[in-house]
Amino acid sequence: MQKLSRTLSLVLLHAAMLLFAFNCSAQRPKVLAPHQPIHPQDPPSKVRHRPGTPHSMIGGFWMIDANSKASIYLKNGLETSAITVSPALFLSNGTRYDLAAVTLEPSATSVISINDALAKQGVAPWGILSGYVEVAYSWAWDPLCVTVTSVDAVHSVIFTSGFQPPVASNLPIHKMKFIEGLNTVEGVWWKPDANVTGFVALSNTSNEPANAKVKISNETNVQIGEKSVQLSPHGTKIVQLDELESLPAGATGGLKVQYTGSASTMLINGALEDVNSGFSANLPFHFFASPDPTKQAQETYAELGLMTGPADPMMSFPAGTTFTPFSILRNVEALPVSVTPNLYWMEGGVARSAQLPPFTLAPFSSLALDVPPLLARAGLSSFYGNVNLILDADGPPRSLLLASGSVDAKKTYVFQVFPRGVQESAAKSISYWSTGNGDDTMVTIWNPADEAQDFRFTLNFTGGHYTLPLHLEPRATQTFNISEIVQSQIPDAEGNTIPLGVHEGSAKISGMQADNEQILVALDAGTYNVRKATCSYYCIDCDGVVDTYIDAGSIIPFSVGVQSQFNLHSDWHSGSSYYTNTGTWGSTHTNIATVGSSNGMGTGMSPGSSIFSDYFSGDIYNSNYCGIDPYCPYLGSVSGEGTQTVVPVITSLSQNWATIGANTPITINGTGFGTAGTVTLSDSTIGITYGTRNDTSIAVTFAVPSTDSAGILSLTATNNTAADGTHPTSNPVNFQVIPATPTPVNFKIYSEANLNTGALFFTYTWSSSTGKQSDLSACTLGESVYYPNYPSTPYNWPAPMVASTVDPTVLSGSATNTGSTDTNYPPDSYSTPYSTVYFNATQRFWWQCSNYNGGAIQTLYPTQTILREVFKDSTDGFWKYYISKSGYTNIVKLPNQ
Amino acid sequence: MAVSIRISAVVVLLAVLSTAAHKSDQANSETGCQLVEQALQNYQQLKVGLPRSDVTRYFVLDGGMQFPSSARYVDPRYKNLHVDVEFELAKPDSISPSPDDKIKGISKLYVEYPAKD
Repeated sequence: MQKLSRTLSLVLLHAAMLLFAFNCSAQRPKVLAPHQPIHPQDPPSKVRHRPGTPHSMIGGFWMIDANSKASIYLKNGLETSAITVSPALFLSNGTRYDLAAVTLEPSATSVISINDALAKQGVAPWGILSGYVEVAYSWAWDPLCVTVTSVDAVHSVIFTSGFQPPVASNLPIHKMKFIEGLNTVEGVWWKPDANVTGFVALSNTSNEPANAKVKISNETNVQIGEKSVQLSPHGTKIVQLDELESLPAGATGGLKVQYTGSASTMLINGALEDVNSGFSANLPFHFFASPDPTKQAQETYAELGLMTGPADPMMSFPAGTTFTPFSILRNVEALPVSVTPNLYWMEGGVARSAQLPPFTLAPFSSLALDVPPLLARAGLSSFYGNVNLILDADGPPRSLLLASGSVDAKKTYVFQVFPRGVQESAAKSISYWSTGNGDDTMVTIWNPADEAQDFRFTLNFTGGHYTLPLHLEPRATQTFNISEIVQSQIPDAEGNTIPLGVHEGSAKISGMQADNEQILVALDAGTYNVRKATCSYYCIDCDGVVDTYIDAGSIIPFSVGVQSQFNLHSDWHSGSSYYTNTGTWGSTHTNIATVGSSNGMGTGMSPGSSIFSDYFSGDIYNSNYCGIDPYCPYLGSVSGEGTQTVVPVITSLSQNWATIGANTPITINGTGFGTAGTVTLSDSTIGITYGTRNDTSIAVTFAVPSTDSAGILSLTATNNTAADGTHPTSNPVNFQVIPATPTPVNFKIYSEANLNTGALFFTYTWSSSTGKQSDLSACTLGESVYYPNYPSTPYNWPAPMVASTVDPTVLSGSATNTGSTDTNYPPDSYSTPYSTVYFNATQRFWWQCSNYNGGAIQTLYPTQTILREVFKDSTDGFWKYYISKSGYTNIVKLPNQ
Repeated sequence: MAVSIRISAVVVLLAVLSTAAHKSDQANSETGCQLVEQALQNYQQLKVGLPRSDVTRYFVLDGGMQFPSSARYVDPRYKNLHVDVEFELAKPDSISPSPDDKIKGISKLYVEYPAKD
């Protein structure tokens, strides 16, 4: 009785929905485009490079036979680094075949033929084979987007499957369902035609055997079949959905896959097919439980670019090909979900919409929307072109499992569309596009906001990129084929075109200002081939954060009374890094250091250590294939922390040198030494005797052995009485060991000025150990600067910097001078196009006296690094030159921008 | 005699510079010979006993370390042309050079990549 009433209610709701359709966009709450501040980008030289660790992704159910070919599509999500990937194939019996490693350049794509790879391994690829794929690499996170397609061109059948990390992350959305002591994954099936059948492919990626069962239910969740299978370690089994054969066209229902073992170790893929008509479609699965099944959430799903009516002549389909959209829904949670469909389409260049009456999906029920009557109610019965079906869901989060697309009357051409969650995000990437061998990739972009937005659509390919600016009016849709862009040969803003010989690559849509700019956009892409009558889709992922840290502050050392600006840095999966001082800040020991709760401004209170933390709501990268969660990225709390140590500070030394073979009394002045501060020299052979010590001074006598050599040491002071029991140590200061003969001492930076050209202009001073500068007449003082190609010379600066310098550059003068200037110039000019580059030079200061050690070169000052860099400033979009040395920086805009 | 040696040194450099000068952005509108001839004329203005300020009328400081008692200058339009100048300091204890420092010695005009440091 309950089942009957549920069926009746579904039917009535469905019928009611068809009766009413009305334009009511004015009643909808206004959806604004994001207008959030953009976090600035760290220059490449400041991006933290974490060591790689062994990582892998698994997935890619594949199936080949004499007619079928399977391919692995790899995309490197890193835009700043190449990555080497080692794929391995697992056959259905668990046998592993390791394939040759592939190196992917930044943002590059690569396609590996599974048939060819097996042939190279001596496995006949014309046999009926199936299995899954593992791709291994060494990196600090999972930067790859991988899909596998299996194509039977003879029967026009194609299946696509994605990848996931072998262990689910700790994101709240990654909580598996656990029912009857088994991991449980929900799915949905539908039957568009009487001859369509289906299957579920299960791959056990663990080293242990696993048991699994597949339960098939009808639209009201009444079980109509159950299959049980045992899977060997790394084995794959295909479960045929025989129960579908006897069901009428138009039927729909649910799947429930349950299995033993760890939650992440079972790969579940499914498909519908009819080899006679050429129909094929992927079955969607809901891998994770609702994050909070007891709460109501409003979610919006976009089914973009549904084709209705006669095919666009530009797409070269056979005459008479007519498409009809389909949309399948299943509620996979235990509470009802209210769904409001909306249609959006373009008419005369203007966005139009119609809201349809809402309906309710009972728990675990399924529904195949009859789309043509919905179009008719919206006044679109004679419309032909593309429409977007937008579903507003009101129920527990992630309750809906959706499938949609367009299919022709003969069920040969199936354009499956991946329903996408609509939410704000940073840039989104399409992992692969193709215009070769009869392929073309159709891209549909919808602006869900009630205000216009501007985007950059960038096509990446081997050897370059091409950027297309897009302006979308409120709620407007833009649809285009990649081949149109390639063939247009219109130069972009940087003068780039796509060579006509380029037929594949990847693409990205972002805000006009930066990749981490928040945008609100729904994006879909499908690669179709009219000749083969196939259409496949690849991974679409969203840029996001993979790791965070809080830096050491703007003033180093962080000491008592010092105010220092701290920033939270976010490492993104693309390899870029961004920073901010916004968010909510905290300090674990405010008696040691406080931090402004909203601005990251830290203040040293007393020597010791405190942990600073910051968090804000942001984009977290989700490396699971987009099919596992239609929403990307994961929006959550981006948080980071860093230990900040408030250290003693040495402000001056009564004398910063000691003489070889003598006792030299020194007083170290500063703050935060405590009552029993100790001093450390980097030469442990020097004896140290303590005199009077207090919080602001330490009196010592250094005894330098007569066997010691002249040189530069570092001297630090340690507080041994800090409140938290730690022993914070000051930053080092220079201390010189000198011979008894007159020697240049106390070499230091007197001043620095930034020149408008981008140069750093230093003035250095020094004195004589005797107090009389003319005593240094036997001495020379100078510098040697080493460039990256030493010992080759000259060093030709990397483009776009144009300059050549002698390597090493050695310059000197008489030590009787009391000072010198030192100018660190920018390059002579810059070549175009501008690109990101940097290099370091090493500067060594030295002295030599003819009356000491045969005039040998002696170190005068610690080695300094001169960093020069050209980068694109994400805050204003301009290319800039940056130089830093000894804590001083200068930055200038490059010309002709 | 000293001047004639300097001139001969410069003449030898002409052939080298006539090609190299074309690479300089500043030299786009002039031939290498014209550049060197102009640099040579400027160079001939430098005399022992003249103040430092006279040197900077014709030449600019090279990059890297520079000392008050000795400085390296380059031609402003073709920075591969160098001349080193020694000075008698007006204020020997001063950190910075003075425009009143007097020229004590002048090197030959020579070719070298400019120092950038």
